[in-house]
Amino acid sequence: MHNLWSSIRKHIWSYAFVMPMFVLFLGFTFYPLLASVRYTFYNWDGIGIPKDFVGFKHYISIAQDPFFWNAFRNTFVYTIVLVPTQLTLALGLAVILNSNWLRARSVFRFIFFSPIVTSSAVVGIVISLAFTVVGDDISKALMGVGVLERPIDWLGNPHTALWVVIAVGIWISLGYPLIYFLAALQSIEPELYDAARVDGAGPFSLFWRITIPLIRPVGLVVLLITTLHSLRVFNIVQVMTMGGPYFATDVVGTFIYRQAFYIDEAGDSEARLGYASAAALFMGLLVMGISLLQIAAVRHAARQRSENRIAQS
Amino acid sequence: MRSRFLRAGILAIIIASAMLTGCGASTGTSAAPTAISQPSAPTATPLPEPVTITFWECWGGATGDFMVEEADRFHEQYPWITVEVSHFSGRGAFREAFALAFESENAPDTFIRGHSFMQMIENGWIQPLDPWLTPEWKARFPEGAFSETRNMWRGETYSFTPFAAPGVSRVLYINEDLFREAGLVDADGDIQTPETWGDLRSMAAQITEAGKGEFYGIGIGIKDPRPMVWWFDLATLAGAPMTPYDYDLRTGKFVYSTHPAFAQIIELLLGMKEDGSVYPHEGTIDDGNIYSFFGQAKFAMFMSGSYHANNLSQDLPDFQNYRIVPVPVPDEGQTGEVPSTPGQGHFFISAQSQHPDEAWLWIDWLASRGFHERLVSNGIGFSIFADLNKPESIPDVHQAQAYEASAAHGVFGPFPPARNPDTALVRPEPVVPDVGDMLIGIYTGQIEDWQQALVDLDAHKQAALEAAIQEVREDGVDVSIEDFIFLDWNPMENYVTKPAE
Repeated sequence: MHNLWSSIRKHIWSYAFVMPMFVLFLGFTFYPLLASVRYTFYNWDGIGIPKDFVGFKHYISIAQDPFFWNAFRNTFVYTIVLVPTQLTLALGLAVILNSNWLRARSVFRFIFFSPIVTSSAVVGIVISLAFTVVGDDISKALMGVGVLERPIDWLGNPHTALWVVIAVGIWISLGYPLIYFLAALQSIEPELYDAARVDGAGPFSLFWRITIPLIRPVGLVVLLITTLHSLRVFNIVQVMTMGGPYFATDVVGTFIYRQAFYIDEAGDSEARLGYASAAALFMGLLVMGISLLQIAAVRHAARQRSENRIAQS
Repeated sequence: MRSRFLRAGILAIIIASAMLTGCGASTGTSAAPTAISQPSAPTATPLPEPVTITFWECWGGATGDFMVEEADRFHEQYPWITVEVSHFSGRGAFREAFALAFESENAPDTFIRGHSFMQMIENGWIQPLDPWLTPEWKARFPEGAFSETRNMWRGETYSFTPFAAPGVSRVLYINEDLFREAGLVDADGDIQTPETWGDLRSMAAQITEAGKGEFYGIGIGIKDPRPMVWWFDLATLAGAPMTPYDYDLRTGKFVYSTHPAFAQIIELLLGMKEDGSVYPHEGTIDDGNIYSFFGQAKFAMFMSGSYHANNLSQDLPDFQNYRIVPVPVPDEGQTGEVPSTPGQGHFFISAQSQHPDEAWLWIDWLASRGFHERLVSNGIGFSIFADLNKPESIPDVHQAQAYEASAAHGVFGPFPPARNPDTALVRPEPVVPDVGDMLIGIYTGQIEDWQQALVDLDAHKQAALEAAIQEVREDGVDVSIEDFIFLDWNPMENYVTKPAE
């Protein structure tokens, strides 16, 4: 205890600078999180104090709700497709943007980063409207060569809608991993590449044996951030398809939103904040479980590799 | 080993926390209210002490501007009272701010309806107008303007219905140029409009053929499930039930799978799709943007509310060659009208108002014939006072058409709460998928066996209704399925629901 206090006193200014953010985190993230756990045990429409206690009824309903699992599956499809595709694209673009031979690099960096600073809701609306023009041209071209009999409704067709949303998702947040990878590439000492070239290394070897290992720590952080970000997808789905057609693009975010702010067919609010909170917590617990399994699997694999190396030596 | 597991657990908790906060994060934005008050200078004569009352609304646009102008006129009449009008960007933002305002005891003095009337009653947000009402005041309104659970509760009056009723919410918009281009012109040179469901399909196909890919017969939006429900409302013209009481009011049973009209509507939708008559961007279209596609001549027809006449007038003022007509009737002939429930109250006085007398004067202003005359002449809406809705009083020819089209098939239907107010406490759990979602699934082919889907829908909705009735009975409320049955209802006629003896 004495050591802890003396350590805090030694770094008092560090704690002082972190404290405001920590207080905000407690007030606007941690407390709402705890409060929403309480709401999961009530039927609550968001008005006044929750009174109708239902215990674990919401959790049981969600576990048996095929529409929740549909949203869960769509969310993971979105994530599993988006993350590797986006990271591969981002890394490739970062390598190109870091190249000395590329002219006007700052212009290209601006172009690829600019979607980040636009509102994803606005982008979603513009792209969905743009599909009525561009989509028409693509359909007409495909109809012209006999591939299609009639135009495709890209966002209204259950076989294409999710892929369109994924493509938009990849594009709109491409700038985040791109910037991280670019920064990581710029931190690599050029002398390492010079020395490797002297030893006869080609471009692929330089990339695989120097670039990748040195940016791995940043890559793991980018992987984690991108995965979390994609699991929370909501804006572009809500504005482009509202989770349709018939739940084909429904993700956990839109499922929760629909439960939390349910409007019945007469236009009146039938909000189910208790149920929505339970769905959010249920999803969080599922992700936690999957994360634990992943961590255990990665550690097990690392241990196996280490044991194999020892055995070989 | 233990510390490694602990670190892994903490890492997983952090990941899950980030997920939860993302899922629980605010997903909408609430626009801060824009308080607009335009007080006039008080007159020189002695007046009561100046009072400011607040009025919240979420209509915005031309309607919002109109309310500000009315607040100014009101102030000229009552110089000591200033009405401060606050606009909200949408009903969602309005609801959120409204509930919080009452929680924090900063509620507005007067407001429009954002939540359902019964929610406002149950939360104690509104106060009755009875201290100021007189029989003469109520007598100026037509029959059906005051109804339990719509603007009255347990005999007390909380508001009035300002807008025209009964009315059919849905009308058909027709692009006259595209109809002419397709040759749909009669001997007198006027365009032919679809009278029946069969006409709708055949005309849509004819227009599409004439369009050769540049325009289509009809626009349908499947992005939002709510407008899809309106297609099933057409079934009422064949005597079938409609929302919100979408069971047969003569038997208390859901009949989606047994009344032939619903199957006919589904076949109509699938038929138009198969014909290629539907503008092929259904997934992009919702009720908010359908009029803009119509105004760009992407398709010749669409079905929606009469309010799009106002939207077209504001956003596409140069687009005038269109017509608004009543929705088509079944091929076999019309055997029902579109039943509507009594109109809801729209203007209320807060239970927390510190100036209820002044608030009443504002509410009275909103019920005055002068206000309603200006409501109609400014193209804001159609008045509960039907004599004010003359075509010559409605400035825009299309809004006049919209009024006539929406009045063509509207009647009052049975309203259970008028007979037994406690039926308003029966709130069935939402059924998923509900009608709108199911129709989208059928339209896209994701639901292949739609006949079975209709059977399942009937079963789920019946179970939800009966469970809701049982739940209310367990709380000691005297309600049964009999309260929802009206054996003497004729779908072709107005029905006046009398209170139980």
